[in-house]
Amino acid sequence: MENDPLANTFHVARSQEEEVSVLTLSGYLDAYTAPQFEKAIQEEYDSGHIRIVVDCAGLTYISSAGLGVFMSFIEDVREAGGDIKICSVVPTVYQVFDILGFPELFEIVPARADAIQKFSRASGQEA
Amino acid sequence: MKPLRVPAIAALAGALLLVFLFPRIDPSAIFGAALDRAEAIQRARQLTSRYGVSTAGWKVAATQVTDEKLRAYLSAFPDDPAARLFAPVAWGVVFIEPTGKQTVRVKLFADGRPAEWELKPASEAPAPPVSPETVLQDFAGSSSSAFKPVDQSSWNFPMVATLTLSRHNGRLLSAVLSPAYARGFSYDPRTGNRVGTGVAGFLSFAGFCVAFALAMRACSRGWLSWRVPAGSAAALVVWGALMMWAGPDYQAMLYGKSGGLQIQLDEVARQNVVDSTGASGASLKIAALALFVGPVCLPFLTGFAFAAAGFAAARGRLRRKWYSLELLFRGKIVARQVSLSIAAGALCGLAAAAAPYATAILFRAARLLFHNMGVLSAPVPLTALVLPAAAVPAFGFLGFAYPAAYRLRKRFLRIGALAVLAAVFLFVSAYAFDRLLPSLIATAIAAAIYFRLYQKFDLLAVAAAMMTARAAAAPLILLAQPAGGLRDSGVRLLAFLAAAIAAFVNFGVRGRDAESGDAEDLPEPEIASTQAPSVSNLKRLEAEFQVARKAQQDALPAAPPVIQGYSLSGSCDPALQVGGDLYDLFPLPDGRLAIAVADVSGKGVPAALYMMVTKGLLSAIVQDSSDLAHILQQINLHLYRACKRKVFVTMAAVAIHPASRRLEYARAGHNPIVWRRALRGETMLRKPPGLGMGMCPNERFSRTLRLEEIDLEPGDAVVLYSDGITEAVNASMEQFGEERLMHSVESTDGQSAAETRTAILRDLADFTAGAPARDDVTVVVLRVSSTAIPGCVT
Repeated sequence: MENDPLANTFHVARSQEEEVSVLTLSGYLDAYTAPQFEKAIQEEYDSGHIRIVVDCAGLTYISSAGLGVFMSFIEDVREAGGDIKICSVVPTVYQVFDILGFPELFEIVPARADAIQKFSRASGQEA
Repeated sequence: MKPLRVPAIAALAGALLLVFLFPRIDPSAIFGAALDRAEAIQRARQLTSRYGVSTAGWKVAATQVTDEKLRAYLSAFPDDPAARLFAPVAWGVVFIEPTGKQTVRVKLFADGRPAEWELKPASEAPAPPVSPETVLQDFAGSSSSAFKPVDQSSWNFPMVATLTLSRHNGRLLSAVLSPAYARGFSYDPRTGNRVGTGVAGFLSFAGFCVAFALAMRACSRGWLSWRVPAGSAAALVVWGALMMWAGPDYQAMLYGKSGGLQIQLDEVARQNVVDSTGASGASLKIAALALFVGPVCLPFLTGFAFAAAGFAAARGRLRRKWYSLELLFRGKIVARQVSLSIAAGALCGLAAAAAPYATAILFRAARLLFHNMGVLSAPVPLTALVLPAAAVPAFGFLGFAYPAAYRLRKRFLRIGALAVLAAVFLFVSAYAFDRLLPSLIATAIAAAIYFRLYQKFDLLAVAAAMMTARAAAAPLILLAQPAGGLRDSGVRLLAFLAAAIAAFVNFGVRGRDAESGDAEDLPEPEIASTQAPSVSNLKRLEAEFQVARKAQQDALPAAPPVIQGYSLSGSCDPALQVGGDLYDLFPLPDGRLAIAVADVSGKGVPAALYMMVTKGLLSAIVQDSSDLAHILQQINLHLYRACKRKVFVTMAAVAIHPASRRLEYARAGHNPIVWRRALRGETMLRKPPGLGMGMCPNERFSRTLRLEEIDLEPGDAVVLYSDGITEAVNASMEQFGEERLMHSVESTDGQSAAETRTAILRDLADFTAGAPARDDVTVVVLRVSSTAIPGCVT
């Protein structure tokens, strides 16, 4: 009678840091929780926030459906001049990113500060 | 009408049995009450004023008192003069002075003769004296001449009865007529507390505690909407208020509090399924409170705990058993799905109600016990028709415990657990007769009906059946009474019951389906957020899924080709009806044999559709290309165009040249390939770079993709698999992982590909220990024979 410990254990927190939108993911991102993440990222995109950092420090698992959410936005965000950067990925989740080839497509950095710094450096260069 | 055909036939059979047998063998029909509730109160009031107490303006409560011991005695000695003096059914009436200080308790036999009268506490107010002879005449009637005085305050009818008076200054304080049971007559008043019943009661109480803890956990973690406990609590308050105003239990409590409680306590101990071990040693007031709290509050608490725990744990197919209850909880009582379940349950409930009577035919010597007597004493008899307590076993056994037991993976454990459950259900519910065996048989018949109902319909249907089985007795009891007022209530109740069943049948057959999205608080793995399926829609969907599943399975290779010097074995098990995994084996134009395992992102139907697309692309492209890189690039090109990055596919592909044993492989975002080098005792993961397909334009995909080659040696094995294996988790959320997979492969050196594949799946099953697969599980094993000379594809 073990209840499913995976149910409803995913959470997205949203915050702004230096004109960068930070989505902090925690828990279990799979086919059932991916829509929550998709909604959050869609809202950022719709409100014109195209510098997005996804902080995966609390993310314990990601399935292909979760990876699909990253894929479905990256091109639009980049075409609009922004980017999605990923930070603080725990080894088990990084392994999944790595298998699929995410390091080829996304900038994955160790800490949130690095990601934000990269954005501000890029905008500094533009200026 | 079709889904209700069998329930309707069962109901007809049950109703016929009830109409024929109930008036003949039910004790409430044999020992009828000549007074209805109002007449009993009036008679008691007259008697009380004769004894010098005016009860005008006093609060009054009336209840039915049954005495199984007396009944057993009268059955054993039908010619005893006691039969003229005593009746096992009586009215208990209590008058309570407005300040609550003084009470008068009157017990009247079914024919209206007093059995007990008591004023408490003794009043100092002057009152006309009552002569003992008057009291004797009132209590003993035509038999009074047989009573001989023993002393100032008692008379004796030798071997039959004693009348005991208590007087103060000529004023009557109490009078009690008690039977003198013949020597040698013994009666075990605790027929409900047999050993089996005690053990079963303990087990069900333990189950309740577990369910309560799980329910609390589900609430605290947000798996259940806060509306569930809040709604249950609100319903309890409303129900409690209604019962105090119009229900029988509050009346019983008031009478019980005034004394004369023991008989009713036995009744409670027997009827209260959940807590049959309580009450007996408790003080009078607590016991009296139990008379009210037991029937009114406990069913809500236990029902809530079992239902919440069962619902929170129900996933996949099990969740369907809760669907109509969810709709009902949202107030959609006339929705077709809800009405159909209630109608089917109510009809089958009539059959279950007849089970004890059918059993009684076989056991002539066994006596049916009094039941559902509240209907006679409830100020509004309708309230005795709805008995929430009756539905608790539906949630406890079928909603909570049965799915848990059924989930046990080991066969003997599962069978054992189910047997214990069945035994617990039989014992806690076996209280129809004074003997155990017929009670068990009657319960078993009813249990079979409930279980079939659960399989064919859902939990709401079972709950409705259990409540109907209990409620069906109410109009029958009323109709069998000599008192005209009670018979009239019986007619009204019967009409109400029939009309309610007819209404539910009507809505169940012709009502509107609930709208989509009515019941999707929690993620539903199987048919998430599609239209709310009605039973017929559900059947159709199920049938369509079966077709889709078969089409998918047919798309997998039927039998691996035979290649001299190699063995090959693969399988693909979707977690849901249809899956997003794929494996394929195909000869390349250059004579090599290619093996591919692919995994589509996401789950369910969308993934299944893209899986078939991928299969089609693969089949088309390999017709004229032997280059693995080119094959994967072409698939990426088409998927990228088709999927708009919403869906991607990962794939591992190998091409083996059988004669040279040279294996070429590529990986498009898929799990690494396991290579077991048996002769060297090495196991390694091969992971050349490569992106998933459908994620990015072909230029970038091609730039990243790299082909690699290895030379296999005799005994080597190559394993392709999907993440459904490595990411499968056990109860403590550990993943199976690559290490365990490699270990499984290592442990089967020298065995065939099929044996290696079986070992991997067996180790996986042992690891997850019955936890349901969350993802499709695909594995393909290629093994080079240790001895044979490599040949060519045949």
